[in-house]
Amino acid sequence: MVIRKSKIKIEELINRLYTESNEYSKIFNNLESLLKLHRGIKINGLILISKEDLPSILKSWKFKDFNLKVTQLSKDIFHYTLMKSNKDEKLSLTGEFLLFKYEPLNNLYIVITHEKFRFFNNVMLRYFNLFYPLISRPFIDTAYMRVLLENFESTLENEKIRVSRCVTKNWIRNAGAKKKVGSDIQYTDLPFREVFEKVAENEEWIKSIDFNFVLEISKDDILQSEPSSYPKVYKLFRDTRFQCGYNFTLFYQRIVEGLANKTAKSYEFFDNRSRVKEDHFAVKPLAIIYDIGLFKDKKQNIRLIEALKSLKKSSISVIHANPYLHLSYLDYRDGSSCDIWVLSENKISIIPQIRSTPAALERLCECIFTGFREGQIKDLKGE
Amino acid sequence: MASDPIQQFRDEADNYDQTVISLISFAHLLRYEPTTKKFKQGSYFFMGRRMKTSDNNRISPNSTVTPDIILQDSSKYGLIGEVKKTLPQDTEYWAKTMKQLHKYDDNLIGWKTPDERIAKCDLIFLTDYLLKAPVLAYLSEKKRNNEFSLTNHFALITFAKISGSEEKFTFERICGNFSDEKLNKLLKKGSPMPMPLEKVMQYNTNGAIKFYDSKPPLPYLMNILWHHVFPSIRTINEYVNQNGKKQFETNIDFLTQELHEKFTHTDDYDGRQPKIPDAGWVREAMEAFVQLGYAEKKHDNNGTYIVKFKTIKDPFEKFCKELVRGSSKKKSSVQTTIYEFNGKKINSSL
Repeated sequence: MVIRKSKIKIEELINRLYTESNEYSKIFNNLESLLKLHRGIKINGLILISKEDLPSILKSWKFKDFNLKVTQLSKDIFHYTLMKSNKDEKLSLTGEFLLFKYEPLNNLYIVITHEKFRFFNNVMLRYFNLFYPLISRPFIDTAYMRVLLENFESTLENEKIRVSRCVTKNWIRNAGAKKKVGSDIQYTDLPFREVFEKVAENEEWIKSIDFNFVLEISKDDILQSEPSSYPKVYKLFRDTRFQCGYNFTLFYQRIVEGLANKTAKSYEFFDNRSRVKEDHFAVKPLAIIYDIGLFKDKKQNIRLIEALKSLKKSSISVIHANPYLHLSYLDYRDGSSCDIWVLSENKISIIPQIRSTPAALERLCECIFTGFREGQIKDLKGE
Repeated sequence: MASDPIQQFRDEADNYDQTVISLISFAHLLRYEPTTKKFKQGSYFFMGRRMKTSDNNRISPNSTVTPDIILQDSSKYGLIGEVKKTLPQDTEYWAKTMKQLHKYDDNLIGWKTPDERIAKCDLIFLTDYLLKAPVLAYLSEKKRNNEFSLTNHFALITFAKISGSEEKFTFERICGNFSDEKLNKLLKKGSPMPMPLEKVMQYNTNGAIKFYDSKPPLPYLMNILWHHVFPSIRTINEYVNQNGKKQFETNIDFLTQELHEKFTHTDDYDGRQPKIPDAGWVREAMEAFVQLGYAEKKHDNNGTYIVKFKTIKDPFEKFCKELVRGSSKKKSSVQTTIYEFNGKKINSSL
C-alpha cells in the first residue's frame, strides 16, 4: 500500500502510535510512518529502570499537580496520558507517551513520546524524577557516548556521523572564580571522532550531542544525507535521554539498545550495596579510578569536596582533607549514605553505608564525573 | 590543640578517626596473610576487652581491666596495650596511661583460649610519631626512677601518616622488644613498616568502623547519627512521599544497637567486649540535638526522642559551630558551650 502523505494527517498517525502499538513491530512501524511523513516531528525518549515492576510503581503513586492515565496496549506496552495541572488552567499541560519493556530485561523500560521537548523535559522528566529512588534514571559518560557512535557508524555503508552541536562542561581553573564548572556550546560540522578527541584534549565532558549523517563519497567529497532540510536528526544526552528525527528503528537498534544494556549493567553494579544483616553488615565498596595520578596534587581534594558540595539535596561532612581525604556523604532524597576516601593518587573509594540505593550511587558518581572528572567505576576488592 | 574551639572540635574528631584507623591498620599489619588473603587463622583482634587481673597484680588485683587493643596472634601469644593519638601537655596526666600498662603486666584472664589464659603476652603502647621524643624521654625518666618497670616484654610503637602515591600509616618500634622474634623482624627498630590505608579500609568491614573503646568527640558522634543512622530510619516510601512529615521517633537503645552493629569492630564478639558505643554517649548526643533544636525528648522514660530531620549541607561543621555557640533556634539566649573540653565540663548550666 502506498501511503500518500497528503491523505494521512499527523493526528491520525499519532493516534495510531498510541492506540495501535500493541506489538513491538507496530511501535517501530508507527514511529517510522510518523517520522517519514512529518519531518518536523522528533521522537523524544528516555530510559527508566527500577527494582520492582515499573508500571505498578507508576500506578501506585499519586503526586500533587500530576494526573496519569494508563491504557495497557499489550503485556509490556503501555500508553499514558500525563497531565500537569496549574492554578491557571491555560498553563496546564497534557501529553502522551508510550512505555514499553526493553525485552531482554526485567524492569527496564523505554519511554517515547512525539510531544515537544518542552513537555518532555518540563513535565515528563519532572514527573519521573518524583519517583526517585524507586525509579532510577541512569547516566552514561563521554567514553560510552563515543562507543555508541562508533557502533552506530559501523553499521552505515557510505555514511559518516557528523556532529552538529555539542554541549560540553569543563572545570574553571581560575582560582578566584565563583563557578567551578563551566559550560560550552559548540555548533560545528565535524566528524564525531574529531569532536571527542578535542573534548578529551581539553579535559571536558559531554552533556549532550546532536549528530546527523553525511554521505562520504571520498575524503574530500561529502553529501548531506536525507533529510537534507533537517540536519539535526539525532540527539543524545548523558542522562540517557535521546531524540530521534529520522529512521527510529536503526537509531533504536544502535543507540537505544546500547543505552539500555549499559543501564542494566550499571544498575546491577550499583544494586545490593546496602549493609544488610544477611551479609553480617559487610561493606561493598566501589571506586572511581583515573588513568592519571590526579591526587598527587592535594588541591584536587578540595576540588572534589567542592564538586560534592554542589550536589543538591545532599550533604558532606569532611573529617580529614589533607593529605588523605575522608568525608561522609548523605543523599537527602532517599537517605542513602556512604563514606568517601581518597587514599591513593588515582582513586576515589566509596564505601556505602546502612542504606545505599542504585539511584543514589548513580547520582553520586554522576556528580563526581561532571563536577570533578570522569573515570572508571569498579568494584573495590579488599586485600 | 587549637585555641579556636571549633578547630578544636575538628582536631578532636580527626584524632579520634585516626586513632580508629591506626588500631585497625596495626591489627591488619599483624594479622593479614597475603598468601591466603585472609587474617591468620586462630588470630583475634579486639578494640577493648574486659580482662581479669590476677591475685598478684601490682596495681589492681582481682579486678577488671579494659585495654584499648588486644591482638591475639595464636593460642600461645598475644599483645595487649593502650593507644593514644594525643597526650595532654602536662606529663602528670601521662601517669594514668603508664599505670594502665602496669595493670596489664599480669597473667590476665580473658583471652580466646579454652582456659582464657595465654602462655606469653607482650605489652605495647601505640602513639603518634610526633610524640616519640617526649614519650621516650618520659619512659626513660620513669625507668631511671624505677617507676616504669614491667615483667612482660614491652614495646613502644609509633604510627605516622605518610603521603605518597598511596596514603599509608607506618608503624615503627621505637624501644623495647617483643618476645616473638617474627614480630621483632616485622617491626624493626628504626625501620618503619608501611600499611597502605586503602588496603586496610577496603578489607571486610574495616572501612565502616568508626568507634573504639573511648568516648568520641560529641560532634563526631552527632555527625554519624545524622549522616548514617537517622536517614535509614525513614523508609524509602516515606522519602518518595515528601508530603509526609520528616519527623520520626527513635530511642537510645535502637540507636546504640545500630551504631554498635554497623560501626564498631564486632568480629568474634562475646560477653567480654564492652558494648561500644556506650548508651550514655548516645544519650549525650541526643540531648545535644535537643539543645540545638534538632530533636525533642519524649517524657516516656524509654529514652525516646523525636528527630526533626532536615537538610543540612555540612552537618559536622554546623554541629561544631552550634555546640560552641551553645545556642539553638529555641535557646538563642544561652551563650555557652555544652561540650567537655579535655574531659573538663566547660559549662553544664544548660
